[in-house]
Amino acid sequence: MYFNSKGDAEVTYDAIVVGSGISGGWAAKELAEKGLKTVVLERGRKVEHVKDYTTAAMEVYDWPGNTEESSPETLKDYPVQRRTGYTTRRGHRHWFVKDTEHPFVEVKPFNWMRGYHLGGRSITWGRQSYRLSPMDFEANAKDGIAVDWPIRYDDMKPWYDYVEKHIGVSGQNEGLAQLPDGVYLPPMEMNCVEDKFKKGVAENFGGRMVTIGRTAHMTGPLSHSNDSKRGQCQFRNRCMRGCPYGAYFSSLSSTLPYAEQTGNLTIVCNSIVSEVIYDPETNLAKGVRVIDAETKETRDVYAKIIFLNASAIASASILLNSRSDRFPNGLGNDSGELGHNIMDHHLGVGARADFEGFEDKYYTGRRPNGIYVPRFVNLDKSSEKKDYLRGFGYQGGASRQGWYKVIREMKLGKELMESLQTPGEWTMGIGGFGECLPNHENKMYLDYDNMDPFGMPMIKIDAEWKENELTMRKDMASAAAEMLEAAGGKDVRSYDSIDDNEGKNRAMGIGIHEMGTARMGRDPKTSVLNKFNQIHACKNVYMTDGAAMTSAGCQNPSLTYMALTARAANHAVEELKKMNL
Amino acid sequence: MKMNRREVLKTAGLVLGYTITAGSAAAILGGCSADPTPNWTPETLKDDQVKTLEKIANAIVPGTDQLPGAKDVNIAKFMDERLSIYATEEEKTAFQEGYSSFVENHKVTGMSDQEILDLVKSEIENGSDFMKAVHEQSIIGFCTSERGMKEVLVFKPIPSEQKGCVPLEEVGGIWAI
Ligand SMILES: Cc1cc2nc3c(=O)[nH]c(=O)nc-3n(C[C@H](O)[C@H](O)[C@H](O)COP(=O)(O)OP(=O)(O)OC[C@H]3O[C@@H](n4cnc5c(N)ncnc54)[C@H](O)[C@@H]3O)c2cc1C
Ligand code: SF4
Repeated sequence: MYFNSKGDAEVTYDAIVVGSGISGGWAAKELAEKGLKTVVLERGRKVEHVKDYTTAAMEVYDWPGNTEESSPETLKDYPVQRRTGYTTRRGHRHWFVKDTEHPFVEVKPFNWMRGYHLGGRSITWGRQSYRLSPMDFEANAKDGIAVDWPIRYDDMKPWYDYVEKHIGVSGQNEGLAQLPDGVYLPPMEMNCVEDKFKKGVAENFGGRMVTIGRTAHMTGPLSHSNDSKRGQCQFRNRCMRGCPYGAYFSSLSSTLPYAEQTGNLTIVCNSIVSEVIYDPETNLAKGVRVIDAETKETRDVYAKIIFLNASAIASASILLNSRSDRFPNGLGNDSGELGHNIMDHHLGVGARADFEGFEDKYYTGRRPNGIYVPRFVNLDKSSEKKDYLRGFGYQGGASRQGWYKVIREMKLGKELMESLQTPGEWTMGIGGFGECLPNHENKMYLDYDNMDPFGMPMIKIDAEWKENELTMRKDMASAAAEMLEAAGGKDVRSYDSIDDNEGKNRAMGIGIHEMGTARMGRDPKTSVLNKFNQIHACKNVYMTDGAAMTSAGCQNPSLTYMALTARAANHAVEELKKMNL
Repeated sequence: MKMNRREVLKTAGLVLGYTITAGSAAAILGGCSADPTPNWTPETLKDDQVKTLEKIANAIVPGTDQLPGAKDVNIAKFMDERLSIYATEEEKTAFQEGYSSFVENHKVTGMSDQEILDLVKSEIENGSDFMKAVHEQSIIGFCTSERGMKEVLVFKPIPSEQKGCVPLEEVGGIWAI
């Protein structure tokens, strides 16, 4: 196997990759495939693909009380992780950290959802994969917000193509300016109520688009490979537990195996990178310091280039903790922007409705995907909103009520047994994903007066939704209701759950798309990373996780992290060849 | 139940083309814990409570000549686990108080199923939270039990295909999951 014992880790590699999640897996694959001896340093435990998906085939009745929910006793260890309402279920709880073991400080409520293990959150992610559009890369410049992206869609397009081809994304091209087409495997199907909704929305809102979700599942063979590393999706919708078929993209199914087959990869688990070691003689980093998660001993690992992929907040914390004479406020922090401009997507707002008709219709397969309503506001003059910038998309779906309906219908005895033979009425819901503006006030920093159990300064997060997001939400609730109503929905209910649990459950972070802590930009005075994700003043350190994001778009972001990573890895290898690093 | 797990493994092995080792098979199969335990001792419920709750649940979900009902799925064990493992202290107290005041006024032991159903109905109509919970738990416990899911609902752990719109008869019931 490709796991290294920690004993011989104190050696020199060509490249270090910190973290093995969505972006780290990509860095490892690209760098190893291009011939660099690459070590992945992963904070969490080792996970073996398939073998360690121990809950994949469990049914509810395999758990006490026939439920996947965790007991209140267990939940005491997950005060933050539990706030989604689903992350702490037994089927996949082991993919999320115990907040009690890995504490951080919420100056304001912040939902930092984390998984520390090989593969990171690539195992549990929702797999929704959308490209940012030309207008997203231009948005900051156009609005005069924060700083301009140093790249445009055209810089990214080949890399989006490249990663989509490799991972396999199921979807439908629609030719939209705000949601670029991609390289897609066959789309999944809409059910009859979703189809009615799609038609109703197009008819009543000037051709507004409803499309099937774009999701990183194999619904057909991959063009690049028939080497049977991966199987096709069986529509079980138990992806978060890990897929025994390797049918959705994760680091374990799709990137690390390719990195491994080059013979250039070493993975060392239980390795908490605490800082990057700066060499003032060369103005480059020479390696990283690692705390062993089990023994708490430290050691140094050296390489020519370093990719930080520990996820936006963790990667920024590593740099903030990398203090030297040259960088007293953290490596690469000449601008003072490191740790600032945290963004996320705000959600938990939308509408639901019942639909009549189609009583004789049903569906088969548990589609691990929903429908998508691409952004339709602030695209041009005609869709311009006076009271907020940017926009939102919706994800959702329709289904027929299952057996639960007999409770509400108050069925008893014989009648109940009969009622259990026919599904209930159709309902449909759509929930918004709204863009969040970068704001210097939304920040994270380190508290050297309080150390965490591993001897690292505690991370403090001080961020909240601001006015633009809160104003947008009103529109997100009412536009959802309008569309359902116009498409023939009955008893339309809009909702906004921002106040649930004293606001904690919908506080920033709940989109699990935290990003922006080391933004890309053209000017070293106002940004941390350049247009190839290099630290402006320390060019052999690349950061290609969500930290790099200059603005957020409203699309799920991980596909963009993958494309940025592949692009940056290509750049790093070119620069090494040119002896520039 | 075991069959389905093997099926998962078999197909996974085929599709992936690599051998799933004995260790990994054991890990996935080992995920399966509990077969309904015949020698079960309740943690929270008293014997008389078990009897009363079973009697009510059996009337609510009676089964048919062909189909199992609450009596076939150890419903009291389910209720006991829900109460012991998942209920908060307040919920536990509310249950105990609800139970006491119910049995003070009613004795279900001698009642026919129809009499019990009439009582369940009138109690719920009169706002009894206790009876509402028993109704709800009887149904949840049944529909999430192995036999309920496999024999009354339509159970297909590995659908292998997805179709958006099919005639209801093609499925022939409610999807268990
Ligand atoms: C339930 C859920 C649903 C989601 N749905 C979607 C979706 O539909 N679409 C989408 O685009 N995104 C989705 N996301 C977000 C997505 O998972 C993240 O954007 C993505 O995983 C980020 O990739 P990453 O490489 O930055 O970090 P991660 O995947 O989080 O990986 C980071 C890795 O770094 C390791 N690490 C952390 N600190 C250190 C350290 N100091 N030293 C060494 N290693 C370290 C961690 O253990 C981890 O393995 C979802 C997330 C969750 C949890
Ligand atoms: S739905 Fe598809 S990807 Fe998800 S677990 Fe099932 S087979 Fe795997």
